[in-house]
Amino acid sequence: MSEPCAQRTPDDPALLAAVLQALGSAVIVLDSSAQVVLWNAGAERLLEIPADLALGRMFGELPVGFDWEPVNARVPGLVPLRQVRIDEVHVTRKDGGQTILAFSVQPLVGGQDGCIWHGADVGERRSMESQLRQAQKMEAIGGLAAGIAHEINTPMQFIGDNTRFLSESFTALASALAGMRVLAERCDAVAVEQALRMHDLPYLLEESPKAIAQTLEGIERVSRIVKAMKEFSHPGIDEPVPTDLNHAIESTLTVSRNVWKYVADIELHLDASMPQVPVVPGGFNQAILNLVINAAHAIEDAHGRSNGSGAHPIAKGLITIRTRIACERAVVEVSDSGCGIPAAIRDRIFEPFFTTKEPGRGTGQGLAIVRTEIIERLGGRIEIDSEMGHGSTFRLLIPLHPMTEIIRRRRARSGA
Amino acid sequence: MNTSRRRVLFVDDEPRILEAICRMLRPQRQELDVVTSPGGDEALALLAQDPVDVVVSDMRMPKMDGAELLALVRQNHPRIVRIILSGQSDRDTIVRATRAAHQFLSKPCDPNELRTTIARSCALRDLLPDSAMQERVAALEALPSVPGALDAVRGELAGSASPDRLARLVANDPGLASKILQITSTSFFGTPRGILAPGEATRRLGGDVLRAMAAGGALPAHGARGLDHAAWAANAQRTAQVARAFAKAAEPALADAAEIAGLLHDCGVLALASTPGSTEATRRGHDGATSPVAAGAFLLALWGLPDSVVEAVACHRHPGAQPQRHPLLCSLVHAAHILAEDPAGMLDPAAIDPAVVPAQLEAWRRIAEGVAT
Repeated sequence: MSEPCAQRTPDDPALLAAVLQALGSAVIVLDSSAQVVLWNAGAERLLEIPADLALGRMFGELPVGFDWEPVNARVPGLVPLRQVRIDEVHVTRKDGGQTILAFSVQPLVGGQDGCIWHGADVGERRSMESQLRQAQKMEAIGGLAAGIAHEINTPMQFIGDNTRFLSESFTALASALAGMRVLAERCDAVAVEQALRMHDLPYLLEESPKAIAQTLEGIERVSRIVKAMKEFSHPGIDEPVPTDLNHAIESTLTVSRNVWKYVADIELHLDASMPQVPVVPGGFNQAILNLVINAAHAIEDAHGRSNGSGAHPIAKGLITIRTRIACERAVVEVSDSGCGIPAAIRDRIFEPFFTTKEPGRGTGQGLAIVRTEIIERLGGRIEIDSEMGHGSTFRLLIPLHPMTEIIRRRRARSGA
Repeated sequence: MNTSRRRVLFVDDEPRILEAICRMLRPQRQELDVVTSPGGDEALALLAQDPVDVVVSDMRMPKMDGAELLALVRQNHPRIVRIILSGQSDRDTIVRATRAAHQFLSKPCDPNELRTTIARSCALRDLLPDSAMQERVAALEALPSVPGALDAVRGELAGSASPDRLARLVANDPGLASKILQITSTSFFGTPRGILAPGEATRRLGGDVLRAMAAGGALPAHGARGLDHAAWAANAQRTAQVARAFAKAAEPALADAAEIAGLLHDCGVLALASTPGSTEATRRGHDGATSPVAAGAFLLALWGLPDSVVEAVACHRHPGAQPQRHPLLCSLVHAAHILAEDPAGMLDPAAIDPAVVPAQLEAWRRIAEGVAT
C-alpha cells in the first residue's frame, strides 16, 4: 500500500490509464446524470471530439454525428441499469463520411455510479458482411434461375413445336380450302360461300396466321429472357474469364427491363469489334445492373416518379451505354439524363452505406459493389462526369491484360 | 422409296414433348420415320427389336437418365447417332452427357435446328459406306490426345489456369481441339455458335468447365496404337499453320476453318489407330475397302462440325471424288496437306478451285516455305 516505488500491477492507475489510451475503441465513462467523466483517445478519434471538450459535459448534448434514434430507444437516459448492446449506430463524420459504431454499455456498480460506454468501428466489417450477403443472394438467385430456366424450357419445347405445327397445318388447310372453293363454284357457289361465312371463315383465314406468328414471337421472347436470366446470374464462375461485354450488357438489360422501361429509353452504342475482356461475369453484370438502377433513379429524381400505370405520363429520360477499346482498356460508359451528383458528395459515393436514397430504395452498397468488382477484382478504374440537372456518366476502364500474376497472388493469399 | 427412309427415336419422360415433336416432324414423313419412348428401358427394348438411325434423348429422366441410356446405346448399337436434347444446365450432368452423346441440343430447341440436325445425322452414312467402320468410329468417345498434352492441361488447371495457355494447349492438340469444338458446336454450354478456333472456344468455355470435364474423364487421354502419335500431331500442326497462312492470303474469313480443317485433315488415321482391331492396312487405307479420309470426315460430321470443314477434310486427298460446295476451302486444305510436307510438292489440279490463279499457287508455295523454315 505504501510502497515507495509504484509496481506495475493491474491496480496501478498509471498502467490502466495507458491501457485506456492505447485502446483502438472508444471508452467513455458517464456518471449517474450522464455527464462525461472519462473520454479516451479512441473516443476522441471515433467521435471526433477532443477529451478536454467532452469532459464534464452531458453526453447527450455533445456534437457527435450520431443517429440518436436507436441510441435513445435502447438506452433512455443514456445510463442503463443493466448491460445493453447497441449493434448499429450510424455516424456521420465531420468530413461527411459514414461509418457504423457498435456499443456495449455497462453500468458501474449498482447503476447509481454511472456507466461505461465501449464502442468499436464496425463499418468496414458490416460493409463486407453486406457485400457477402449480396453475393450469397446472387449465388442463390443464380441457382434458382438455372432451375427455373429448366422448368420453363420443357413446356417451351412443346409449345414451340406445336405452334410450328399449327402454323404449317394452317397453311396447308388454307390451300386445301382454296381448292375446295374452286370446286364449289361448279356446284351451288352461293350456298357454299354462305356456309363458309357463317363460320366466319374470311376472318379466321385473315387472323389465324397473325395469331400464330405473334405466338411464335412471344415464345422467342420468353426463350430470350430465360436465356438472359441464366447468363446474368452465371453461377459457379468466380474468376475473371474472357467475356463478351456487349452481350453481357444486353443480357443485363433484358433481365432488368422492369427497372428502367417506365423511366427511360436505353440507347446502346456497343462497339461490335470489341474483343473478349477478362471479367468475373456475375460480378460485371451486377456492376452494370447497379449503374443502370442508379441511372434510372437519377432520372426519376429529375423527372418525377411515374407509378407505371400510365395515368400520369412523365417525359422519359435517356440512359446511354457505350463500349469501346482505348489504350489497352475496355471502356464501358453508362450515362443518364438524370439529376446529376452534387460535387460535394462525388468523392464519397463509393463508400459503403453512403446513400442519398430513402430507405427501401437503396442500401448504400450499389456503388461499393461496382468499386469492388471493377477496381479490386479486375484492377480497373472508374471515372465520373456529372453536371447538376443534366446527368452523369460512369466510365468503367477495364484492363484487357490484367496483371494475372497480381490477381493470382491476391487469390492465393486470401484463398488458401 | 421406303428403303431410304430413316428412323429416329425420341426419348423423353414428358409425353407432350414427344407428341409435339412428332407433329412438328410430320412434314418430313416421306423421308423420316419417327418413333418415341417414355424412358430408357422402353427405348432399349425398342432398339433390340428394330434398330434406328438416330436416338435423341432427354437428359433427366426417372430410373435411367439420358447419359446412361446413350452409354448403353453406344455399347449395344454403336452405329446409331446419339444426340442429347436437354434443358439441363447443371455442369456435372452436362459433362456426363458430353461423354455419351455425339451432339447436344438445348431445350427449347428451334424446330428448324432440330430438323436440320436430324437431317444431317441421317445423311452422315453417305460419307462412310463401310458399315463396320461406321460402327467403330461412332463408338469413339474422343480422339486420343498426344501423350503429355492432357497432363499439361491438368497442370495448368491446377495452377494459374491462364486462359491463354489453356487455349494454346488445346489448340495444338487435335484430340483436345476436336473434343472442345464438338461440345461448342451447339449452344449447350451457352457459348456462341459457329466458333471454329479451338483456342477461342476454350476461352469461352472457361477454366471451370474444363476442370469439370477433366475431373469427369471427358477430356481425352492418350491411347493411339501403332502410330507415332507425336510425329503425326506435328504434321497436323504444320498443316494447320500452313492452311491458315494460305487462307489469310486468299480469303481471311476462312482462316479459322482452314486451320481446324488442316489440324484435323488426317484425323481418320488417328481415329482408326484408337479403335480396337484396326490393322496397319486399314489405317493407311491400303485394304481398298475403307479409307481413313472418309472415316475422319464421318467422325467430324458426327460431332457436328460444320459442313465446310467436313468437306475439306473429306476432299483433301481425293478431291475429285465428291462435289465441292466449298471449293476454295477444299483447295486451301489440299494445298496445305501437300505443301506443308514439301513446298515443291505436286498439287492435284482437279483439287484446286479454278478461281485460284497460278500466281496465287506460287505465292502459296513461298508461304509454305516460310512456315517450314
